[in-house]
Formats: sequence, C-alpha cells, structure tokens
Amino acid sequence: MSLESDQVGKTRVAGTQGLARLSTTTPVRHKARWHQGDLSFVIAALVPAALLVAVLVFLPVAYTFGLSFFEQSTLRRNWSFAGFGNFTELMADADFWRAFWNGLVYTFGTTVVSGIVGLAVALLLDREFRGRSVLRALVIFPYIVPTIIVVFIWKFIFSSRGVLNDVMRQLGATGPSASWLGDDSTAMFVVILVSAWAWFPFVAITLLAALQNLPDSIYEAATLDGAGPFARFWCLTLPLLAPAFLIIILIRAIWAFRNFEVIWLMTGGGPVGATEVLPILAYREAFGSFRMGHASAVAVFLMVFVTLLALIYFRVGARLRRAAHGS
Amino acid sequence: MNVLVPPAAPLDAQSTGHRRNPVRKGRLSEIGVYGAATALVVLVGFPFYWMMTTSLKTYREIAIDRTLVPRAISFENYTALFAQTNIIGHAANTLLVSVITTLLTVSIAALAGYAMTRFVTRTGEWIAKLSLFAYMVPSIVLIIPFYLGLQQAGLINTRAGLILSYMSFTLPLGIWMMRASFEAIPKSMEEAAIVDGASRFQAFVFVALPQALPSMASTAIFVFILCWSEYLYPTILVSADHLRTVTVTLETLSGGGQNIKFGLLMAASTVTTLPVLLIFLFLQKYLVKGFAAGGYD
Repeated sequence: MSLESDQVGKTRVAGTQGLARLSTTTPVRHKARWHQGDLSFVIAALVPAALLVAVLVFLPVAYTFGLSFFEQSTLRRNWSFAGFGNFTELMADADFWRAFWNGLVYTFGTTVVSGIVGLAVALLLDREFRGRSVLRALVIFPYIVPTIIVVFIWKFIFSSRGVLNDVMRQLGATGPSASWLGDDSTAMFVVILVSAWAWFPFVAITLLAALQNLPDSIYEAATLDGAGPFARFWCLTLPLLAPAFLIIILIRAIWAFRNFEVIWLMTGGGPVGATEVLPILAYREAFGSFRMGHASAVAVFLMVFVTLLALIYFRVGARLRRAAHGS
Repeated sequence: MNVLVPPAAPLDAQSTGHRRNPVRKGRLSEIGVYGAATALVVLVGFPFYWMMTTSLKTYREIAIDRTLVPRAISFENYTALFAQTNIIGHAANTLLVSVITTLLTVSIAALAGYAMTRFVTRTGEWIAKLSLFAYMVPSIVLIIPFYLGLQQAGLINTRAGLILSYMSFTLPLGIWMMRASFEAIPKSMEEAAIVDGASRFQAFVFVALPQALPSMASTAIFVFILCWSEYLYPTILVSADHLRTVTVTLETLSGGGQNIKFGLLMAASTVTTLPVLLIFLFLQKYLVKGFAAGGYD
C-alpha cells in the first residue's frame, strides 16, 4: 500500500484509494492470446447471453417505446396510430404529475432514511463489541426476505388494530390517525419507512466494507495529533467514505424510483392516489383499464428518468475510478 | 465500470487486525455501543418475531387480546392455511421455476463472463455496462411487451414464459456478477493448460470454473432469492392454479380490506420465508460475498 505515509492532509487521495479497493481489480489489460478454436468458443459463449439480454430486455423496451405512439381501443382491440397523443394527454394529466412528484418524494425519503440508518449501522458494526458478528449477519436478513413478506409484516404492525397503535396507547400517546395507511397524511411516511427498513442493510453492509478498507495509519496519525472521536469522524471518516457513499446512494435512488412492489402491496397507491408513483400508474393503466398505449407512455417517461439516473451513476462511477487510479 | 465489485471482498475477514477504535474506552461509550446494538436487534428482529409468533396465536389472541407473547402455541393458522390454500404446491412450483432459472442463468452468465474477460475485453466492458443498465430497467416497462408478446407466442400461462420473464432480470445481474469474478481469476493457469494440449473449453471447465465456484454460488443464491421473491411477473403472466407462485398465493390471502386474516397471512409468510432462512443460516458466506459483488435488487 502506498498510503503508509500517514498524511492526514491527503484525505482526498486516500478516500479515492479506499474506493478503489472497494471497487475494482486494477484493469491490467493483457493482449488476449488467441489459440486455435478460441473464436468459435467465444461466439458460442457470448451469443446466448447477448441474444437473450437483447430479446428479453432491449427489444421489449423498444416495443414499449413504439407502443407509446399507439392507441388501443378497449373493445375492438385494434391499434391505431396516435402520434404524440398519449404524451400530450399525460402532460395535461394531474394524476401523472402527482405520481411523478410522489416518486420524487418517495425516492428522496427512502434514500435519505436508509442512507442515514445504513451509515449509523455501518459505523456501529465497525467497532469491536461482543456479538458483533452475529449482529452483522442478522442485519442482512431484512434485505433478503421477499419484499412481499416485509410489506405484509409491516402492514400488520401499522394496521389500525396493530401492535404499533397498541404500544403507543400503552405509552399514553395516540397515533396521528387511527389508520396509518388509510390516512393520506401518513401513508407516504409509512411507505418510506418500510422501504428504508428493507434497504438499509444494503447501505450498511457495503459501507462497512468501505469503512474497513480505510487505512488505519491515518487514524493513528490523527489520534496522535490530538483529534478526538468527533473530529476523526467529521474530518476523516466522512470525507473518506464519501465516494463509496455517493455511489451507494445513487444505486438506492435508482432502485427506489423504479420500485413498484413495496407501494403497490402496501397501499395500492392510495389512499386516493397519495402514494401513487409512476410504476403504479403505468400498472393501473395497463392492467386495470387496459389502455396499453397510455400505459406505455408512462413507462417511457419512467424509463427516460431511470436512464438519466443510470447515466449519472455510470459517470460518477467512472470519474471516481479514474480519480482512484490516477492518484 | 465496476464500482462495488471487489474481487476478494474482505467482508468476512474483518477480524484481522482491526484497531481503528482502540480498546481503551470509557464506560459511557461502551454503554452507548451496546445500547445501539440492542436497538438494532429490536429494529431488525421484532418484525420477524411478530410474524412468527402471530402465526402461532389463536384468532382471539391476535384480534382481541393482542398479547406480545403468545400464551399458548396454536397451529390453527397453519391447519387453516394448508386446508384453504395449495401453498405447498405453489411453493413447489416456485422452487422448480426458481431452480431452472438459476441453473440457466448461472451457466449462460459464467460462459459469457469468462469470454468477456479472456478475449473481447474492451467489448466485454461494454457488455457489462449494458447488462447493469439492463438490470436497472424497470420491470413495469417490460411487463407490457411480455404480456402482449407471450400472448402472441402462446407462452402466456406457461412455465417457459415465466422462466423467460425471470431471466430478463436474472441474466443481466448474472453476467454482471460473473464477469467481475472471472476478472479476478488469473489467466496464467489456463494458458499453461492450453499449451499442454487442453482445448479452450476444457481449460474453461477444468481450470477456470473451479476457481470461480464460490462466486458462482453467490450469483446462484442471489438469483434464486430474486426468483423466489418475484411478484409482478407471475401475477400478470400466469393464472392457472398449478403455475402459481407463493408470492401470488400470499397476495390473495392479503385481500379482504379491513378484515385481513393476519394469522393466516403470517403463517403463509413464515412458510415462504423458510427457504430464505435456510440460505441465510447455511450459506451466509456466499450471501455476504454476493452483496459485495453488486448483488442488489
């Protein structure tokens, strides 16, 4: 490691270095040496994968794009070209804008909550205490349990005669409403909390890996220089962790914005659209009203937005990697 | 572009010389740590405790007495569950579909990942990026064409159609994870094997693959869990009872508005959690590794 030089001032470099070790094998590119028969092997190995991904993902995406320019009459089931009709309709649709806004709120909320809780848990698990390895394992569990189960357990806990209201009553408090999910002022809040609960393990475990890759030497140096625990956290841990944290947050944001299951199973988008996001709107249009063209237009909008987020993710990732290797 | 893909994630090697937070510490901070740890245990553990204990309570205890600890263990929810639903059959079907999807995904992805790191590396990087992007495509964008397309192809309501729809997310993830793992495996041994007269395929199977086995296990476990948990595709693409998945069964049990039978639902949830719990208990090592290799949903 080139960073044994204990330079606290070099946090930026050290930070990216830490990410480099979190992130990648150094891509030493050897010129591939081809042997006889290798070409057919490569073709046989790559074609099934490439073909399947193309047919199962990219072709359907193109199809949805195409479909968004058509209209299907519900009764006769024949298609007619609609131009930008579906899109102009969407732009004028208050439901659409509400769903878009809800999606932003939901994405922001879940990302912030799971980010903060994940960071706190990572910091906790980075310390040495008895039972740490058990706890580290336990933390993964909410993330791997099927979403539908997570949703139903919490739906039960939050139900009007559920344990949460019971406990609050015992403590002398009353919930903001009889029914957490039936009230449009609390439904979004609950949906955000439940999603954050399911996703904070991802943040915690990946951040923990990043934390443990930070070189100990700079901490020792900082301690020698008289930095207390808070100074070390604010001036070392946080900046050093920032690159990894940024990437993890971006991933979570993409996954929150495209998420369908949690909200659909929790509230169905209700009450009265209070938690309806774009995937739910598209679903209702497609399989509730069978307006496939209209639903496709919503899906296209969603796709464009997710693509933008993905581009940011790739761009940031590439830049961090370059910084890590360039230093 | 492979952020979050450490070749040998040091996740399970944490115990080695970790001295960041020195042992000399006040009473207070020790209390703080154990307090936070306890809070975390409750936060993570309570919902599952609640699921399991509720499934073992009587209707009266769930709805009226609402006890925190069951007074007596009752199996009435389970008896009702097995009598009213075909959850075992649906679980068996889900298992079948998930296992087939996992096997297909891991073998196709391993081949591709190997070729992408050994030969067309520049193109391989692009395929990897495209795969990750493909994995990010919202399922709601794909479900409309799947529904219309599978109907046309006569694959609606078939296991094949379901498996294909699952592969739309498992394969991109699999390619992404397998490429990362082969990238970390040195090429020199294969080269030596080939110089000694092995074919490329033999070098792949007997030299490279054994070294990739742990990553293949991680990939397989992640893919399996994703399939087992999948909800959107089966609700739309199959309707015949013998093709149902457990998630769909669960959803039907959640109907009923204010009068959801939570005892029944929690019993079904407990049954559905079992395979994941077994993986968690016995294959945790691979799970943690998969996390680091970019397994996320």
